[in-house]
Amino acid sequence: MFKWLTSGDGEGLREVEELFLRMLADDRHVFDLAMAARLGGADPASLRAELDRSEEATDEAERLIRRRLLVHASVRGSADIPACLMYMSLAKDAERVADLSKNMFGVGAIAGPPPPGEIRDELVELRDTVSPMITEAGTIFAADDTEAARDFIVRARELQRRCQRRIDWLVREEHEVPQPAATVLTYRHIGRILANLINIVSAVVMPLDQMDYPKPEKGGGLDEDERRDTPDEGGGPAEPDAL
Amino acid sequence: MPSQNSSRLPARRRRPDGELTAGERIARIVALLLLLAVFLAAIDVLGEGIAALGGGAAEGLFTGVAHPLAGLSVGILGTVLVQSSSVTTATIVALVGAHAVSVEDAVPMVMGANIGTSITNTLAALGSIRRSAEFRRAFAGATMHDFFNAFAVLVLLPLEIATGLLGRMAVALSAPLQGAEGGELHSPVEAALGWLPDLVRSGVDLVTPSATVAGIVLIALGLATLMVTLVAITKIMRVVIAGAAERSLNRVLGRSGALGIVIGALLTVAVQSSSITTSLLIPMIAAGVLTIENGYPVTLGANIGTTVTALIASLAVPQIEGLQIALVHLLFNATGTLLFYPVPALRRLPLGAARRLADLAVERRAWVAAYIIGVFVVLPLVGTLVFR
Repeated sequence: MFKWLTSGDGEGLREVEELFLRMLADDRHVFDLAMAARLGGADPASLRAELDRSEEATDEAERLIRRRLLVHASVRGSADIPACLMYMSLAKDAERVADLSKNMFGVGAIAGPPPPGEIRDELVELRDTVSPMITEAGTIFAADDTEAARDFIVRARELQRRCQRRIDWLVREEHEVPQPAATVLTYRHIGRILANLINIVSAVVMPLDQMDYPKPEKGGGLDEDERRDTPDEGGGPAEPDAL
Repeated sequence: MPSQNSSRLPARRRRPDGELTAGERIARIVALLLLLAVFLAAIDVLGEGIAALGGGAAEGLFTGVAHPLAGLSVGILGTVLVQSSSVTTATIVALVGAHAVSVEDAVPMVMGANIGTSITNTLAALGSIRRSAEFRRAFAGATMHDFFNAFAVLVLLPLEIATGLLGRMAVALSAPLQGAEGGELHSPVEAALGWLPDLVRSGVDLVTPSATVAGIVLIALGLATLMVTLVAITKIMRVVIAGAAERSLNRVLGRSGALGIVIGALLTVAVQSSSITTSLLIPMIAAGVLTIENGYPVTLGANIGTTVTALIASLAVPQIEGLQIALVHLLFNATGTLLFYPVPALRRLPLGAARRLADLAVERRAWVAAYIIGVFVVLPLVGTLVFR
C-alpha cells in the first residue's frame, strides 16, 4: 500500500505529454496518407479506413488529454494550471493537423492527383519537407530545445509564405492551371498545418499568454507581421517561388 | 516517436514542488509518524480532561445526548462546526473511552458525524453555481453523499435502537482484543506513548488552581491538538499521495464498481479526510468527465476509509468501549454500502434523490441555501434543543 501511495509522483503531466507526442505521430501518418491520396501514390478508397482510424485516434487522444488535465488540476490545485492550459492548447493544435490532413484527403478523393508539372512537383517537395516537420515539432517540444524551436519557426514561416504566394498566384487567375480550386485548397491546408506546427513549437520559446504568437527573435528572421498564425495573414500577393 | 524524451518533463514544464525527492519523502513520513503520535496523545489528553472534570460534571455535560435524535443532531452540528468528521469521531472515541458517553448513546453521534461531513463537498459544488449545467452535475455529485448518509441513517438508526445490532457486532469483533481484567485494551501505542499525556497532565496540574479548571484546560488542549494534527496530517499526505490519487482517479473515470470503493477508501485512509476525497470528485463531475454513477462508489469508499481515524484514535484509549464505538463507525458505513450499492434499485435511491434536488437547485437557487442551512444547521439545532 505504501508503494501504491507514494508512487506516480509527477506522472500525470508526463502521461499527457506522451499522449500529445503520440498524437503528433498519428498526425504525420494521417498527413502522409492524405498526401498519398492527393498526389496519386495510392487509391484514396484503399486508404480511407486507415486514415479514419488514425484521425479518430487523434480525436480520442485529445479527449483523453482533456480528462487527464482536469483530474490533474483537481488533484494538484492551481500551481499546474499554466501547464494544463498549455497542453490543452497544444492538443487542439495537434488535433487540427489531423483534421486539416483529412480535409486534404477529401480534396484528393474528389479531384484526383494533379497532372505532372510545376504544381505537382512543388506539392511533392512540400510533402517531403512538411511530413518530418510534424514529428520534429514533437521532438523539439519534448526536448524543450529553444534554438531548434526558433529555427523551426523560421523554416515553417518560409514554407507558409511560399504556400501563400502560390495561393495568391492561383487566385489572380493569370495562368491556365489544372484543378485550380483543388490546388488552392491543398496549399491552404498545408499552410494551416504549418501554422498549427508553429503554434506547438512556440510553446517552447514563448510564455503561455504569447503562445501561437511568436515574437521576432534577433537573427531569427521573423517580421512583426509574421506573428499571426494563419498563413493568409502573412503577406500580400506575390509571385510563387521558382521551383 | 520521441516519447523516450519525456520520461522526465523539461524543467520549464515542471512545477518547483511537483516531484518529491527521496529525502523530502522520508522527512514527510517521519513528520507524519510524529504527528500521529501527537494525535494519539491528544486523544489521551482529552480523556484525561474529561476524567479530571469528575464523573458528575462529565455526566451532566453529556446526559443531553441520551436521546438518539439529540445524539444524531450533536454529531451533525459538531462536524459542521469543525468541518471534519475525523475530529468528531476521534472526540467521540475519547468521550466513550472516558465513560462520559456510553457506546449506545455515541452510535447516533457517529451517524450524525457521517452526515455532517458531507457539507464540505456540497459547499465545494457551489463553485459552479453560476453555470447551470455544470452546477446541476456538481450539486448532484455532492449531495449523493448526503443522501447516502441520510438513507443509511434512516434504515440503520431505528434498527440499532430496536436491536442494538451494530453495537453487538462491535462488541463481538472487539472481544478477542479485550484484556483478562475486562474492559481494558492492551494497546502497544498506549504503552509506548503513555508518558506524553502524563507529562501534559502534570504540567497542567501545576499551573491550574483546581481539578475542574485542569479538566477544562486539558479538554481544550486535547481538542486543539487533535484538530491541528489532523489538518497537518492531511496536508502532508495530500502532497505525498498526489501522484497515486491522480492515477487512481484517472482509472475510475470510465468505470463504475468495487474498484472505486477501494480507491476511495485508500485515498481517504491516506489523507485522513473523506472531505478531501469527495471534494476532489466535484470538479470532475461538474465538468462531466466523471458521471455520478462512477463517482458514487468512490464516495462510499471515502465513507469507509474515514472510519480508520476513529480506529487509530481508539489505540490511545485503554477502555475497550473506545474501540467498540470506532468499530460501530466502520460497521455503519460498511453496512450502508452493502445496502445501497450492490442492489441497483437501492443504489438508484440516493442518486435519484440527488439528481432531483440538483434539478430543483438549478430551477431556483434559493433551494440551495434552504437545503444547506436547513439540513446542516436548522434541523440539527432544533433536534439538539428539542430532544436534549
